Amino acid sequence: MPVLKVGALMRYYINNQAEAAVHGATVSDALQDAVTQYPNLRFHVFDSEGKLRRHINVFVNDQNVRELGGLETKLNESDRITLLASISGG
Amino acid sequence: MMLRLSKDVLAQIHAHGEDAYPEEGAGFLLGSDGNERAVKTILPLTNSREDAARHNRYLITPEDYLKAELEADRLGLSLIGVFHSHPDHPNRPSEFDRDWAQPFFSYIITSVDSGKAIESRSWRLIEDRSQFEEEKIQIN
Repeated sequence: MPVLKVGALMRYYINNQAEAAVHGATVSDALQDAVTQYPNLRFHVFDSEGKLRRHINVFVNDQNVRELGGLETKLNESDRITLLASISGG
Repeated sequence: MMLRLSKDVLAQIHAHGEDAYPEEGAGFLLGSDGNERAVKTILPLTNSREDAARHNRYLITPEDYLKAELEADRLGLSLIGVFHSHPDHPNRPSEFDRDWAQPFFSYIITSVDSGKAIESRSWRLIEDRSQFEEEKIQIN
């Protein structure tokens, strides 16, 4: 099944793990499964309307999903999904 | 809270801030985070904000972030924070810094006055995102 990998920033929200197995045929399904398994992750990934927060970037096998099919990108069993927050400041 | 780093690492952070002046320079802190948090090495990066904003804003692209995560994995380290410079401004976080910061990361800010790095301080955003707390930097 696909694996969700998170940066050090978000490991706290998935029981201090670097990655976790998730179920889903699409990126959207896999993320929903992830926040169901790890409820503390939801606030950091989705806004109050259930939309992906704008500072969260999703990669599938090192390719940004914006260059693929967005959250409807289809997943294979061996795919790796990576969640990373944008890094900015002033 | 305390952040340990070597004189060499601090010198590299200051050099990156001076090289970027009058724009902001930024990069990642790679290290370990157990009983104590220690920076082992840094990964200086290009400020990817548009030209007109680079004097008071920085941006690390998602692609650079992903590469940094992979590099940290390769070195057996973790990404534990971000460093950036404040050209001709104090080394305290701005409201914009708070808007974009994430809990957990250490944020080292270096004041660079007239092209010369003056001082670095480190900050962490508290979990409810309401404010930063300063963490002491210990040089060894």
